[in-house]
Amino acid sequence: MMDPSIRPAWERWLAIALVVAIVLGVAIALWLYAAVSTPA
Amino acid sequence: MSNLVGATAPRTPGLGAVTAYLIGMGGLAFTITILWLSMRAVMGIGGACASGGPYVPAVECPDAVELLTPLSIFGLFIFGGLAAWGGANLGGRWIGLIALGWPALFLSLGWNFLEFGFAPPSGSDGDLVWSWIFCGVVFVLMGGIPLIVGLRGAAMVAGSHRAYAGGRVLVGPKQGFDAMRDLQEQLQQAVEQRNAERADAARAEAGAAYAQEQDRDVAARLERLARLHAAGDLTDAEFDAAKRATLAGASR
Repeated sequence: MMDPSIRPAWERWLAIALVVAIVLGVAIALWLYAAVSTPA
Repeated sequence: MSNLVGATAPRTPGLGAVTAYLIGMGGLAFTITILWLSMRAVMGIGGACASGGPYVPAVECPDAVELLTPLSIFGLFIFGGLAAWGGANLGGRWIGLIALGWPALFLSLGWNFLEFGFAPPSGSDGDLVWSWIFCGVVFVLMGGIPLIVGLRGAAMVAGSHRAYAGGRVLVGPKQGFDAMRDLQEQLQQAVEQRNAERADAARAEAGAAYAQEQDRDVAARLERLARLHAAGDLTDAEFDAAKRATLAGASR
């Protein structure tokens, strides 16, 4: 059985990408909401 | 083939699964943020609004709320589904992170209820809106309790992995490992104590048997001396000397 404490290399990159995706999601939401709220 | 949760060691995942997972998780963050902002906007105008339909509503919804709120509610399911599909291909740890969306949603919306409940934007100053405060408490409990339980569970699983990494075969949390080690030490002490007691008992038994044997020897020698004395083979003096020597040897 593989030692579960040893993590494969791709998990590190996926963790970084996940943080970026979440920050990007929040940022897009804030931007979109502000854009729609602003009267033309 | 997809991994079952935690069933196999993680392998390098496909690009499709990673993309679906990242879009799903980013999308969940997006929709929760939109819901949070929309809720604040509605609470800021008194807590209720309406748009469209045959009637003239008392409070028109802000444009952003009208456009984005229905979208974000559908988005929760669409992005949640994408993240779950991708996460199922990545393994147990990754699909488990989707569960954090629940406390994120309820704690953030609960915050809005509490903030506007304690400081309502309209109406008389200083009045508390108890219905909003009640909702806020319920939402914080709904988000906070699963979060605490989940984090404790994750910490226990991490503990069991460290114990395994220490070179010991162990299935279970770190607490289980410590309990097993204590039990092993107690068992070892009990075995050592029992062995020591058995050895003492064996020594005592051997000593008693030796003493009994000695007593039998002395009696037999005295009987033999008496027979020799009676037969006239030993004089009175010789018999007395031999008897004294025998008894002196026994009492040593």
